[in-house]
Amino acid sequence: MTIATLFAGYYFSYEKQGHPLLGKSLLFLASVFWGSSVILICQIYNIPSSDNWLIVLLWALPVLPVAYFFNNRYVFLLASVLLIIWNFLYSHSANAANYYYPVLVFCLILPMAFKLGAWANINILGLLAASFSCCFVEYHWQYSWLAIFISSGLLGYYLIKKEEKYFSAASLSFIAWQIVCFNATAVKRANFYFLIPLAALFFFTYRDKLKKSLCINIFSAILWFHLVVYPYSKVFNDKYNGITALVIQLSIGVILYLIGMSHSESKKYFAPLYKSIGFATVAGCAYLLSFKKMLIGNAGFEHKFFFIICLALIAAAVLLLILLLCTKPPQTKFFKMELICLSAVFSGSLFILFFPLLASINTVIMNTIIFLLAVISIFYGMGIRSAEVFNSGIVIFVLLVITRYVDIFWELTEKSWFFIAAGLFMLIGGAYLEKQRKKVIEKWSAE
Amino acid sequence: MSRKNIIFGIAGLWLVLALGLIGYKQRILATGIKVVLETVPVDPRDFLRGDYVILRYKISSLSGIPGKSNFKRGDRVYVKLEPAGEYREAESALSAAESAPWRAVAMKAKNEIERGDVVIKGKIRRSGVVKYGIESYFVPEGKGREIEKSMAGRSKVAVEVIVDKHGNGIINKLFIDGRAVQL
Repeated sequence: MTIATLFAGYYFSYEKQGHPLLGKSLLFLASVFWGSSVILICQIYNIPSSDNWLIVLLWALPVLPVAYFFNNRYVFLLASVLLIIWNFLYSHSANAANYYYPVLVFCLILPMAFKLGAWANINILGLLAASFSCCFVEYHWQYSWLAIFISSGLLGYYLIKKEEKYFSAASLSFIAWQIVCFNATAVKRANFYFLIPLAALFFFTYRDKLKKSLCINIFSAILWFHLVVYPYSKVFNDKYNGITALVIQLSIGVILYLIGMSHSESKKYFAPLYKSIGFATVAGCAYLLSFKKMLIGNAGFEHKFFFIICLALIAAAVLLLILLLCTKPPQTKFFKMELICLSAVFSGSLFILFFPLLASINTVIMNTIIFLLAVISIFYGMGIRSAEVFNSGIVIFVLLVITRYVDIFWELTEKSWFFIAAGLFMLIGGAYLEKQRKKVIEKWSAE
Repeated sequence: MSRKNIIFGIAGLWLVLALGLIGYKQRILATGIKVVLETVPVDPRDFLRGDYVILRYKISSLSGIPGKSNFKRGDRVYVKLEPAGEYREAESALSAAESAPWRAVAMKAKNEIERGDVVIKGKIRRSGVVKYGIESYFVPEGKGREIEKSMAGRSKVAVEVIVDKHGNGIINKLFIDGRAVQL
């Protein structure tokens, strides 16, 4: 039946005119029948479920010629999905990293995808899944090599094809590699080798102006920093808790924003991206630190390791700001607005660093910082006519108001009154803000 | 190459692969030696192939195999089998089931196998378990529960496995209290 369906597919595709779709469908059906034939044979001979990978491989590989020679994209999709499944079944069954899968994809499947003009993305996803799956297995050195192999292969493909998706995938795969290494050393050693691919990734990002990949690489660099700090905190017997991570992250956010500000005219392309990520990081951390309950549990920076790390980051940020002021003196009022925000964040970070036990004061400071960020973003957005900045200011403001409303009134009022009042408040406030927002954006559009 | 030739090529490849797989297994069944192994079964489902019975053997545990134990996880091992009773090779499937199950007498590497040794090839998995590729016995849809019930209690379950001279094993029959399970 399988062979008959295969020939019928060929007949309707090429011999009999006018039924190409039927022919393609029959070729696909023959590929499905081929899989069921293999499954049945294996069932007859009681091949154990631990060898299911063999069945999937015997299904996927022989249908590839159908996809290649008869330009059948659906059969190619079937084979691609089967190979992704095979990769996981094989790794699980053999308890080993499956190098055959990336070799097969790089040497056979991706070139086929280019020829057919379809389904390259699903194979890239398969490679990423293979790379990230290395993070979840019991460590063996072969898994970190597999992650590097996949990352390098994707980077190679980027250099050949010059398509950003390969570069983004390579960047993500390198993230998987650092996590694998972090698990591998039982979080005892920092992976400084990662700086080599990271430098290469940033080089290509800047050379080819790859915005999406820059976001991934910035995240990658931040993650690397945290994964380096963590093992050293163990050496100095210091505790890496939520507050510590947030204060570090707050300083990193400021540094990112300053990097955005210091971008020269030639690199202006990336400046908004750094500023956006820096702003979002600072706003997010300040928001999380604005909860008193969270700060009350903070025992402070007992063993000085994190105190020094945070201080060093803040010092680096201040140094960057001084350099920036030397090269670009504040001329516009928008620049001054940014400086006010940065000064507020610096002060808040330093205060929480030196007086971690003063939870109430720290709460007030963090709330003030968020309020300042929201207000200045609204005015800044209006000034530079940026809907994104303006809207983000509104979002932060609304979030702050709702959060504090819930914080304050949840304990004080009857729950029913609370919900009625909150509903009314949000309806009226939301309608008013939305009206104002639309008015401003329409005004900009008209101009 | 014309499309007609390609389609014949693909059909030929599929036939060769399917017949090759069948032929390989049939050769073991035709030329191998019948051994009987004691089991401990459970009954799950295979997402690809429906009902089957998972089989565990006494020789599945590393601790149940005498001989040197310097093999590590992932190693390919050859377990030498000998009949526990007087039968060296059973004359029929039923008599094989009635005979004493075979027992493991040594664990060897490939280069240590001697002429005349009856061995079964396995791979050491995690937590000291050896897998031989004979751990699944497929049954028709809905029949698994029935077999499971009959396996419960004090039934003596044995599996007739055919092994070739290279140690490859294939399940031939499943016996419950000496009776072959009819599918």
